[in-house]
Amino acid sequence: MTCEESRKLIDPYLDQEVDPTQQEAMRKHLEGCAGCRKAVEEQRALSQAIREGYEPSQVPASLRRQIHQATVDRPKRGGFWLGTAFGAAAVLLFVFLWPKATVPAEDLVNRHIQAMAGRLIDVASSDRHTVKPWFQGKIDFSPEIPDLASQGFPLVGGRLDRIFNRPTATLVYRRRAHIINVFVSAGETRAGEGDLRGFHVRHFALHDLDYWVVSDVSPEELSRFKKAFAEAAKSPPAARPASSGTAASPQGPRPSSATPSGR
Amino acid sequence: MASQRFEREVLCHLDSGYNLARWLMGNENDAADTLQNAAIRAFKGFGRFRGDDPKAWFLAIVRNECMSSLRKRNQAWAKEWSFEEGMDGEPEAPCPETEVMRQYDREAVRDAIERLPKPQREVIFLREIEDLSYGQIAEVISVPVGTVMSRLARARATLKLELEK
Repeated sequence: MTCEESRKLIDPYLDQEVDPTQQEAMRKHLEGCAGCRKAVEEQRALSQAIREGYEPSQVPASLRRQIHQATVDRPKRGGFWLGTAFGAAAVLLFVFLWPKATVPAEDLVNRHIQAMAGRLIDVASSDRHTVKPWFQGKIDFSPEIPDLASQGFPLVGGRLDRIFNRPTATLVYRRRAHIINVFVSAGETRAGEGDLRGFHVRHFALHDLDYWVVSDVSPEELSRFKKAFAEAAKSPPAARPASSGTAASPQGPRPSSATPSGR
Repeated sequence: MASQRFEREVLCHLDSGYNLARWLMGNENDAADTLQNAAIRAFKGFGRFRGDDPKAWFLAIVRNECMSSLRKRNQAWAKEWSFEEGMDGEPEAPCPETEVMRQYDREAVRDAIERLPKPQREVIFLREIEDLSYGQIAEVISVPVGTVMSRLARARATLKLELEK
Protein backbone atom coordinates (compact mmCIF):
# COMPACT_ATOMS: atom_id res chain seq x y z
CA MET A 1 0.00 0.00 0.00
CA THR A 2 1.36 3.38 -0.97
CA CYS A 3 1.05 6.49 1.20
CA GLU A 4 -1.34 7.99 -1.35
CA GLU A 5 -3.66 4.97 -1.02
CA SER A 6 -3.28 5.02 2.73
CA ARG A 7 -4.22 8.72 3.08
CA LYS A 8 -7.45 8.10 1.18
CA LEU A 9 -8.37 5.31 3.56
CA ILE A 10 -7.70 7.18 6.79
CA ASP A 11 -11.26 8.38 7.19
CA PRO A 12 -12.96 5.08 6.45
CA TYR A 13 -10.32 3.28 8.51
CA LEU A 14 -11.01 5.37 11.59
CA ASP A 15 -14.73 5.32 10.92
CA GLN A 16 -14.58 1.52 10.78
CA GLU A 17 -15.94 1.48 7.29
CA VAL A 18 -13.18 -0.60 5.67
CA ASP A 19 -13.40 -4.30 4.91
CA PRO A 20 -11.08 -6.72 6.73
CA THR A 21 -8.65 -6.88 3.80
CA GLN A 22 -8.27 -3.10 3.70
CA GLN A 23 -7.97 -2.97 7.45
CA GLU A 24 -5.13 -5.45 7.46
CA ALA A 25 -3.34 -3.65 4.61
CA MET A 26 -3.75 -0.36 6.45
CA ARG A 27 -2.44 -1.78 9.70
CA LYS A 28 0.66 -3.12 7.96
CA HIS A 29 1.31 0.18 6.18
CA LEU A 30 0.95 2.22 9.35
CA GLU A 31 3.48 0.00 11.11
CA GLY A 32 6.14 1.07 8.66
CA CYS A 33 5.09 4.67 7.89
CA ALA A 34 5.49 7.33 10.56
CA GLY A 35 3.98 10.04 8.37
CA CYS A 36 0.74 8.19 7.78
CA ARG A 37 0.71 7.11 11.40
CA LYS A 38 0.84 10.75 12.46
CA ALA A 39 -1.92 11.65 10.04
CA VAL A 40 -4.08 8.91 11.54
CA GLU A 41 -3.36 10.09 15.07
CA GLU A 42 -4.22 13.67 14.17
CA GLN A 43 -7.44 12.60 12.62
CA ARG A 44 -8.25 10.56 15.70
CA ALA A 45 -7.42 13.53 17.92
CA LEU A 46 -9.69 15.76 15.88
CA SER A 47 -12.58 13.33 16.22
CA GLN A 48 -11.95 13.10 19.91
CA ALA A 49 -11.87 16.89 20.27
CA ILE A 50 -15.15 17.18 18.39
CA ARG A 51 -16.80 14.55 20.56
CA GLU A 52 -15.44 15.88 23.81
CA GLY A 53 -16.28 19.46 22.92
CA TYR A 54 -19.87 18.60 22.24
CA GLU A 55 -22.35 18.70 25.07
CA PRO A 56 -25.26 16.46 24.27
CA SER A 57 -28.57 17.33 25.78
CA GLN A 58 -31.54 15.27 26.62
CA VAL A 59 -35.11 15.84 25.61
CA PRO A 60 -36.71 17.87 28.42
CA ALA A 61 -39.20 15.77 30.39
CA SER A 62 -42.11 18.02 29.51
CA LEU A 63 -41.37 17.75 25.79
CA ARG A 64 -41.00 14.00 26.07
CA ARG A 65 -44.36 13.82 27.77
CA GLN A 66 -45.97 15.97 25.10
CA ILE A 67 -44.57 13.77 22.39
CA HIS A 68 -45.79 10.61 24.08
CA GLN A 69 -49.23 12.13 24.46
CA ALA A 70 -49.26 13.20 20.83
CA THR A 71 -48.27 9.74 19.61
CA VAL A 72 -48.40 6.50 21.55
CA ASP A 73 -50.57 7.71 24.41
CA ARG A 74 -53.11 9.18 22.13
CA PRO A 75 -56.53 7.65 22.82
CA LYS A 76 -58.02 5.72 19.87
CA ARG A 77 -54.87 6.27 17.88
CA GLY A 78 -53.05 3.84 20.06
CA GLY A 79 -53.69 0.84 17.90
CA PHE A 80 -56.67 -1.38 17.52
CA TRP A 81 -55.68 -4.11 19.96
CA LEU A 82 -54.63 -1.75 22.68
CA GLY A 83 -57.96 -0.01 22.31
CA THR A 84 -59.77 -3.31 22.38
CA ALA A 85 -57.92 -4.37 25.49
CA PHE A 86 -58.84 -1.16 27.26
CA GLY A 87 -62.41 -1.51 26.06
CA ALA A 88 -62.63 -5.04 27.37
CA ALA A 89 -61.13 -4.00 30.69
CA ALA A 90 -63.66 -1.20 30.93
CA VAL A 91 -66.52 -3.60 30.23
CA LEU A 92 -65.25 -6.01 32.87
CA LEU A 93 -64.96 -3.21 35.39
CA PHE A 94 -68.45 -2.13 34.47
CA VAL A 95 -69.83 -5.62 34.88
CA PHE A 96 -68.16 -6.23 38.20
CA LEU A 97 -68.41 -2.84 39.82
CA TRP A 98 -71.65 -1.62 38.35
CA PRO A 99 -73.81 -4.64 37.79
CA LYS A 100 -76.98 -2.76 37.04
CA ALA A 101 -77.57 -0.11 34.47
CA THR A 102 -79.59 2.80 35.68
CA VAL A 103 -82.85 3.46 33.98
CA PRO A 104 -83.36 7.16 34.46
CA ALA A 105 -86.72 8.19 35.85
CA GLU A 106 -87.13 10.47 32.88
CA ASP A 107 -87.09 7.58 30.43
CA LEU A 108 -89.84 5.89 32.35
CA VAL A 109 -91.91 9.06 32.50
CA ASN A 110 -91.49 9.50 28.75
CA ARG A 111 -92.58 5.96 28.14
CA HIS A 112 -95.57 6.48 30.42
CA ILE A 113 -96.64 9.60 28.50
CA GLN A 114 -96.10 7.85 25.18
CA ALA A 115 -98.32 4.99 26.23
CA MET A 116 -101.02 7.35 27.43
CA ALA A 117 -101.03 9.06 24.06
CA GLY A 118 -100.95 5.88 22.04
CA ARG A 119 -101.09 2.20 22.73
CA LEU A 120 -101.77 1.88 26.43
CA ILE A 121 -102.65 -1.80 26.63
CA ASP A 122 -102.12 -4.96 24.62
CA VAL A 123 -104.41 -7.07 26.76
CA ALA A 124 -107.39 -5.35 28.28
CA SER A 125 -108.70 -7.09 31.32
CA SER A 126 -109.39 -6.36 34.92
CA ASP A 127 -108.72 -10.04 35.61
CA ARG A 128 -105.15 -10.71 36.61
CA HIS A 129 -105.69 -14.34 35.66
CA THR A 130 -106.18 -13.18 32.12
CA VAL A 131 -103.34 -10.70 32.09
CA LYS A 132 -100.71 -12.91 33.72
CA PRO A 133 -100.98 -15.83 31.28
CA TRP A 134 -100.96 -13.41 28.39
CA PHE A 135 -97.33 -12.57 29.16
CA GLN A 136 -96.30 -16.23 29.01
CA GLY A 137 -94.07 -16.94 26.06
CA LYS A 138 -93.58 -13.25 25.44
CA ILE A 139 -91.16 -12.56 28.25
CA ASP A 140 -88.87 -14.84 30.23
CA PHE A 141 -90.10 -13.84 33.67
CA SER A 142 -93.43 -13.76 35.39
CA PRO A 143 -94.45 -10.50 37.03
CA GLU A 144 -96.63 -10.32 40.09
CA ILE A 145 -100.07 -8.96 39.26
CA PRO A 146 -101.94 -8.49 42.51
CA ASP A 147 -105.62 -7.62 42.60
CA LEU A 148 -105.75 -4.19 44.17
CA ALA A 149 -109.26 -3.24 43.16
CA SER A 150 -110.48 -3.39 46.73
CA GLN A 151 -107.96 -0.70 47.59
CA GLY A 152 -109.02 1.59 44.82
CA PHE A 153 -106.53 0.49 42.16
CA PRO A 154 -108.31 -1.66 39.58
CA LEU A 155 -106.28 -3.47 36.93
CA VAL A 156 -106.82 -2.22 33.40
CA GLY A 157 -104.57 -4.56 31.47
CA GLY A 158 -101.04 -5.18 30.38
CA ARG A 159 -98.69 -4.56 27.51
CA LEU A 160 -95.24 -5.45 26.28
CA ASP A 161 -92.62 -2.74 26.31
CA ARG A 162 -88.98 -2.45 25.52
CA ILE A 163 -87.09 -0.17 27.84
CA PHE A 164 -83.36 0.18 27.36
CA ASN A 165 -83.60 -2.59 24.83
CA ARG A 166 -84.92 -5.06 27.38
CA PRO A 167 -88.31 -6.69 27.29
CA THR A 168 -90.47 -5.16 29.92
CA ALA A 169 -93.87 -6.28 31.14
CA THR A 170 -96.02 -3.29 31.84
CA LEU A 171 -99.07 -3.57 34.05
CA VAL A 172 -101.66 -0.86 33.81
CA TYR A 173 -103.68 0.05 36.86
CA ARG A 174 -106.04 2.88 37.45
CA ARG A 175 -106.68 5.26 40.30
CA ARG A 176 -109.89 7.13 39.56
CA ALA A 177 -109.12 8.99 36.33
CA HIS A 178 -105.38 8.43 36.63
CA ILE A 179 -103.40 5.69 35.00
CA ILE A 180 -100.60 3.95 36.84
CA ASN A 181 -98.02 2.16 34.71
CA VAL A 182 -96.05 -0.56 36.43
CA PHE A 183 -92.92 -1.44 34.48
CA VAL A 184 -91.47 -4.82 35.36
CA SER A 185 -88.02 -5.88 34.26
CA ALA A 186 -85.85 -8.85 35.04
CA GLY A 187 -82.96 -7.97 37.20
CA GLU A 188 -80.46 -6.17 35.08
CA THR A 189 -81.38 -2.62 35.76
CA ARG A 190 -81.04 -0.20 38.61
CA ALA A 191 -83.73 1.85 40.16
CA GLY A 192 -84.29 5.33 38.95
CA GLU A 193 -86.73 7.25 41.11
CA GLY A 194 -87.80 10.80 40.67
CA ASP A 195 -90.48 13.43 40.27
CA LEU A 196 -90.63 15.39 37.09
CA ARG A 197 -93.17 17.36 35.11
CA GLY A 198 -95.92 16.34 37.53
CA PHE A 199 -95.18 12.64 37.22
CA HIS A 200 -93.72 10.46 39.92
CA VAL A 201 -91.55 7.39 39.62
CA ARG A 202 -91.11 4.92 42.46
CA HIS A 203 -89.16 1.70 42.46
CA PHE A 204 -89.17 -1.52 44.38
CA ALA A 205 -87.79 -4.99 43.91
CA LEU A 206 -89.74 -8.20 44.32
CA HIS A 207 -88.52 -11.75 43.79
CA ASP A 208 -85.53 -10.68 41.70
CA LEU A 209 -87.63 -8.45 39.51
CA ASP A 210 -87.56 -4.66 39.35
CA TYR A 211 -90.83 -2.76 39.51
CA TRP A 212 -91.23 0.89 38.65
CA VAL A 213 -94.53 2.58 39.22
CA VAL A 214 -95.16 5.74 37.23
CA SER A 215 -98.14 7.99 37.45
CA ASP A 216 -99.43 11.51 37.82
CA VAL A 217 -101.36 10.66 40.98
CA SER A 218 -100.09 12.38 44.11
CA PRO A 219 -96.86 11.04 45.55
CA GLU A 220 -98.78 9.94 48.64
CA GLU A 221 -101.23 7.88 46.61
CA LEU A 222 -98.43 6.43 44.51
CA SER A 223 -96.60 5.40 47.67
CA ARG A 224 -99.78 3.81 48.94
CA PHE A 225 -100.15 1.95 45.65
CA LYS A 226 -96.56 0.80 45.79
CA LYS A 227 -97.00 -0.44 49.35
CA ALA A 228 -100.25 -2.20 48.56
CA PHE A 229 -98.77 -3.80 45.46
CA ALA A 230 -95.71 -5.06 47.29
CA GLU A 231 -97.68 -6.47 50.21
CA ALA A 232 -100.29 -8.17 48.06
CA ALA A 233 -97.62 -9.61 45.80
CA LYS A 234 -95.71 -11.05 48.73
CA SER A 235 -98.71 -13.04 49.86
CA PRO A 236 -100.31 -14.29 46.68
CA PRO A 237 -101.81 -17.48 48.21
CA ALA A 238 -103.92 -15.43 50.58
CA ALA A 239 -105.15 -13.17 47.85
CA ARG A 240 -105.76 -15.82 45.23
CA PRO A 241 -108.68 -17.85 46.64
CA ALA A 242 -110.63 -14.70 47.38
CA SER A 243 -110.68 -13.41 43.87
CA SER A 244 -110.32 -16.70 42.09
CA GLY A 245 -112.17 -16.85 38.82
CA THR A 246 -113.74 -13.48 39.03
CA ALA A 247 -112.17 -10.11 38.66
CA ALA A 248 -115.19 -8.53 40.20
CA SER A 249 -114.01 -5.39 41.77
CA PRO A 250 -115.84 -2.75 43.72
CA GLN A 251 -115.05 -0.32 40.99
CA GLY A 252 -116.36 -2.62 38.32
CA PRO A 253 -119.52 -0.66 37.54
CA ARG A 254 -117.58 2.56 37.23
CA PRO A 255 -118.23 4.07 33.79
CA SER A 256 -115.47 3.27 31.38
CA SER A 257 -115.31 6.87 30.33
CA ALA A 258 -113.43 7.44 33.54
CA THR A 259 -110.53 5.61 32.00
CA PRO A 260 -108.47 8.11 30.05
CA SER A 261 -107.54 5.65 27.45
CA GLY A 262 -108.96 2.26 26.81
CA ARG A 263 -106.82 1.53 23.84
CA MET B 1 -48.99 -3.23 19.51
CA ALA B 2 -47.87 -0.77 16.86
CA SER B 3 -47.67 1.81 19.62
CA GLN B 4 -45.42 -0.36 21.71
CA ARG B 5 -43.19 -1.04 18.74
CA PHE B 6 -43.03 2.68 17.96
CA GLU B 7 -42.03 3.40 21.52
CA ARG B 8 -39.39 0.69 21.53
CA GLU B 9 -37.89 1.36 18.12
CA VAL B 10 -38.38 5.06 17.50
CA LEU B 11 -39.06 7.00 20.69
CA CYS B 12 -35.88 5.54 22.17
CA HIS B 13 -34.05 7.79 19.68
CA LEU B 14 -35.75 10.97 20.84
CA ASP B 15 -32.54 12.29 22.39
CA SER B 16 -30.64 11.78 19.15
CA GLY B 17 -33.43 13.49 17.26
CA TYR B 18 -33.41 16.34 19.74
CA ASN B 19 -29.65 16.83 19.46
CA LEU B 20 -29.81 16.73 15.68
CA ALA B 21 -32.62 19.28 15.72
CA ARG B 22 -30.65 21.50 18.07
CA TRP B 23 -27.60 21.16 15.89
CA LEU B 24 -29.51 22.13 12.76
CA MET B 25 -31.91 24.71 14.19
CA GLY B 26 -29.40 26.39 16.47
CA ASN B 27 -31.67 26.80 19.49
CA GLU B 28 -33.71 24.70 21.88
CA ASN B 29 -37.15 26.15 21.24
CA ASP B 30 -37.05 25.51 17.52
CA ALA B 31 -35.51 22.12 18.17
CA ALA B 32 -38.41 21.20 20.48
CA ASP B 33 -41.02 22.26 17.93
CA THR B 34 -39.45 20.42 15.06
CA LEU B 35 -38.83 17.32 17.14
CA GLN B 36 -42.46 17.16 18.18
CA ASN B 37 -43.67 17.61 14.61
CA ALA B 38 -41.23 14.99 13.43
CA ALA B 39 -42.36 12.51 16.09
CA ILE B 40 -46.00 12.93 15.12
CA ARG B 41 -45.11 12.57 11.46
CA ALA B 42 -43.08 9.46 12.22
CA PHE B 43 -45.91 7.97 14.26
CA LYS B 44 -48.36 8.48 11.41
CA GLY B 45 -45.97 6.99 8.89
CA PHE B 46 -44.68 4.19 11.06
CA GLY B 47 -47.15 1.70 9.64
CA ARG B 48 -45.58 2.14 6.22
CA PHE B 49 -42.00 1.90 7.48
CA ARG B 50 -40.44 -1.27 6.09
CA GLY B 51 -36.76 -0.57 6.66
CA ASP B 52 -34.50 -2.18 9.21
CA ASP B 53 -33.00 1.00 10.64
CA PRO B 54 -35.58 2.95 12.62
CA LYS B 55 -32.96 5.36 13.95
CA ALA B 56 -31.78 6.51 10.52
CA TRP B 57 -35.40 6.61 9.39
CA PHE B 58 -36.43 8.77 12.34
CA LEU B 59 -33.42 11.09 12.06
CA ALA B 60 -34.19 11.59 8.38
CA ILE B 61 -37.70 12.69 9.36
CA VAL B 62 -36.30 15.04 12.01
CA ARG B 63 -33.90 16.46 9.45
CA ASN B 64 -36.62 16.98 6.87
CA GLU B 65 -38.72 18.74 9.48
CA CYS B 66 -35.80 21.02 10.32
CA MET B 67 -35.16 21.72 6.66
CA SER B 68 -38.71 22.71 5.89
CA SER B 69 -38.87 24.82 9.03
CA LEU B 70 -35.67 26.63 8.12
CA ARG B 71 -36.82 27.05 4.56
CA LYS B 72 -40.06 28.68 5.66
CA ARG B 73 -38.34 31.00 8.02
CA ASN B 74 -35.47 32.24 6.01
CA GLN B 75 -34.76 32.86 2.38
CA ALA B 76 -31.04 32.91 3.08
CA TRP B 77 -31.45 29.30 4.02
CA ALA B 78 -31.08 28.15 0.45
CA LYS B 79 -27.70 29.76 0.17
CA GLU B 80 -26.42 28.24 3.40
CA TRP B 81 -27.44 24.79 2.32
CA SER B 82 -26.65 25.12 -1.35
CA PHE B 83 -24.09 22.90 -2.89
CA GLU B 84 -20.85 24.74 -3.35
CA GLU B 85 -18.33 23.94 -5.99
CA GLY B 86 -15.72 21.65 -4.57
CA MET B 87 -17.59 21.10 -1.33
CA ASP B 88 -17.80 17.37 -1.87
CA GLY B 89 -14.64 17.09 -3.88
CA GLU B 90 -11.28 15.69 -2.95
CA PRO B 91 -9.88 17.48 0.07
CA GLU B 92 -6.69 19.37 -0.35
CA ALA B 93 -3.90 17.36 1.12
CA PRO B 94 -3.10 18.90 4.50
CA CYS B 95 -0.19 17.02 5.99
CA PRO B 96 2.51 19.58 6.46
CA GLU B 97 4.92 17.15 8.02
CA THR B 98 5.45 18.62 11.44
CA GLU B 99 7.11 16.49 14.01
CA VAL B 100 4.99 17.66 16.88
CA MET B 101 1.69 15.90 17.36
CA ARG B 102 -1.07 18.47 17.25
CA GLN B 103 -3.37 18.85 20.23
CA TYR B 104 -6.74 20.29 19.42
CA ASP B 105 -8.32 22.83 21.63
CA ARG B 106 -12.00 22.00 22.15
CA GLU B 107 -13.15 25.60 22.08
CA ALA B 108 -11.30 26.19 18.83
CA VAL B 109 -12.78 23.02 17.38
CA ARG B 110 -16.29 24.14 18.31
CA ASP B 111 -15.75 27.50 16.68
CA ALA B 112 -14.32 25.92 13.56
CA ILE B 113 -17.35 23.60 13.31
CA GLU B 114 -19.62 26.62 13.61
CA ARG B 115 -17.98 28.16 10.58
CA LEU B 116 -18.32 25.05 8.43
CA PRO B 117 -20.84 25.14 5.60
CA LYS B 118 -24.11 23.64 6.87
CA PRO B 119 -23.98 20.42 4.85
CA GLN B 120 -20.53 19.72 6.23
CA ARG B 121 -21.54 20.53 9.79
CA GLU B 122 -24.34 18.09 9.36
CA VAL B 123 -22.22 15.11 8.34
CA ILE B 124 -19.77 15.93 11.14
CA PHE B 125 -22.60 15.76 13.63
CA LEU B 126 -24.05 12.54 12.25
CA ARG B 127 -20.67 10.84 12.12
CA GLU B 128 -18.84 12.15 15.16
CA ILE B 129 -21.63 12.86 17.58
CA GLU B 130 -24.31 10.39 16.58
CA ASP B 131 -21.76 7.82 15.50
CA LEU B 132 -23.81 6.81 12.47
CA SER B 133 -22.31 4.65 9.75
CA TYR B 134 -21.80 6.05 6.26
CA GLY B 135 -24.81 4.06 5.12
CA GLN B 136 -26.99 5.52 7.86
CA ILE B 137 -25.82 9.05 7.13
CA ALA B 138 -26.59 8.48 3.46
CA GLU B 139 -30.11 7.44 4.45
CA VAL B 140 -30.64 10.40 6.75
CA ILE B 141 -29.52 13.06 4.29
CA SER B 142 -30.62 11.24 1.13
CA VAL B 143 -27.36 11.20 -0.75
CA PRO B 144 -25.19 8.33 -2.04
CA VAL B 145 -22.62 6.84 0.34
CA GLY B 146 -19.82 8.16 -1.90
CA THR B 147 -21.08 11.67 -1.34
CA VAL B 148 -21.14 11.09 2.40
CA MET B 149 -17.53 9.98 2.33
CA SER B 150 -16.26 12.89 0.27
CA ARG B 151 -18.29 15.46 2.19
CA LEU B 152 -17.03 14.10 5.48
CA ALA B 153 -13.42 14.09 4.28
CA ARG B 154 -13.89 17.61 3.04
CA ALA B 155 -15.32 18.73 6.36
CA ARG B 156 -12.48 17.21 8.33
CA ALA B 157 -9.87 18.70 6.04
CA THR B 158 -11.49 22.11 6.40
CA LEU B 159 -11.47 21.78 10.16
CA LYS B 160 -7.82 20.83 10.22
CA LEU B 161 -6.89 23.73 8.00
CA GLU B 162 -8.87 26.10 10.18
CA LEU B 163 -7.24 24.79 13.32
CA GLU B 164 -3.76 25.12 11.88
CA LYS B 165 -4.17 28.84 11.41
